[in-house]
Amino acid sequence: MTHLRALAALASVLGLATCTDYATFVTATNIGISADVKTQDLSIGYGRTELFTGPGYPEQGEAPRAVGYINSDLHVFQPHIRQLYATGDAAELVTTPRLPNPPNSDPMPEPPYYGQRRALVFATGAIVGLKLGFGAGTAPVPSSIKFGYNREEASVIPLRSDVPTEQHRDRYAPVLASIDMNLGGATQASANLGITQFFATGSAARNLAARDEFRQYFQFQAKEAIKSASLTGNFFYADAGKKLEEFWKPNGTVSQANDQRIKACMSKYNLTGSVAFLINGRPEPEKNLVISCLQL
Amino acid sequence: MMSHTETLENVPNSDVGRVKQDFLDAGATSVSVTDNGDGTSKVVATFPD
Repeated sequence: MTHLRALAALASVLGLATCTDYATFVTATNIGISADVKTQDLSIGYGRTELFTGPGYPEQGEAPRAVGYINSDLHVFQPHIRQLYATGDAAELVTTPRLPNPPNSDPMPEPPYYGQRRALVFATGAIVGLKLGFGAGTAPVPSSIKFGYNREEASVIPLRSDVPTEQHRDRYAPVLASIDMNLGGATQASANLGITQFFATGSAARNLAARDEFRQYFQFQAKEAIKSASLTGNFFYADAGKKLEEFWKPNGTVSQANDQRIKACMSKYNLTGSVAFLINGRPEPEKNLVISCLQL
Repeated sequence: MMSHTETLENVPNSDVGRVKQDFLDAGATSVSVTDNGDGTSKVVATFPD
């Protein structure tokens, strides 16, 4: 909420929330990466604010075009950042799915910015903090993780002051905001936090939403989420697996009390899947985590 | 009804019976076994969500 208040304060400081003869588009990004090779600690901080204030055209369901985009792998030692900021025709051109080839010199169609003007505000704020420790153990995984995520999205879309009728219906101006994050890497040197953010208003938002690759991106995410619900692993059954199995089925049948205790420990360490998969598929260090949790 | 699967690759054939029973005891509604022909099998358990 602090961030949202900051956004609101920014809008009011600019004095533009009620101003309809200016369009103001602001993006601000802060990135901080710190890695200590001695302690094997890694900290990544990311903050981004996006704000658009200006006139909306409720009779047309339109808003001035603006688009902001940032993509970064936030890689520890070789960070790459791609950023885009565009308004007006530039925002239209950069988001249009297909441009004529060869390009023609026809002027772009005039956007329907006429009629009543009312204040429109669209803002997002995101803060991500990540701290990884790689100092203990030999397994290629972080030994400690602290993660914080804060995101706010807000829009005030104006409508006509007149009562809508069947002939004159209300029309909303389009806005679009998205964020995607992906934490990767198993060592301090390879760790990264991929972030992709989109922010768009008016026809730029409409263009982005209509692009196949943009919509397929979210469909891909959904498919990946479904895929991740299924577990696959190589058979691995040794001392730790035998110990867990004896605890799980002390007399050859499942002890419900012990089953619940194992599941609680699996949940504590984010080990998904069944107890059978833990016993027969997970590597020894993960089984040992559960054994230690159970104090066996 | 939604379901999800858990797959174990390269299970020695001598362990297949025990692994299959473990999955059933863990709540699997079905377990399928495919012999790889090299002394190991692939075991796929289906669980209700």
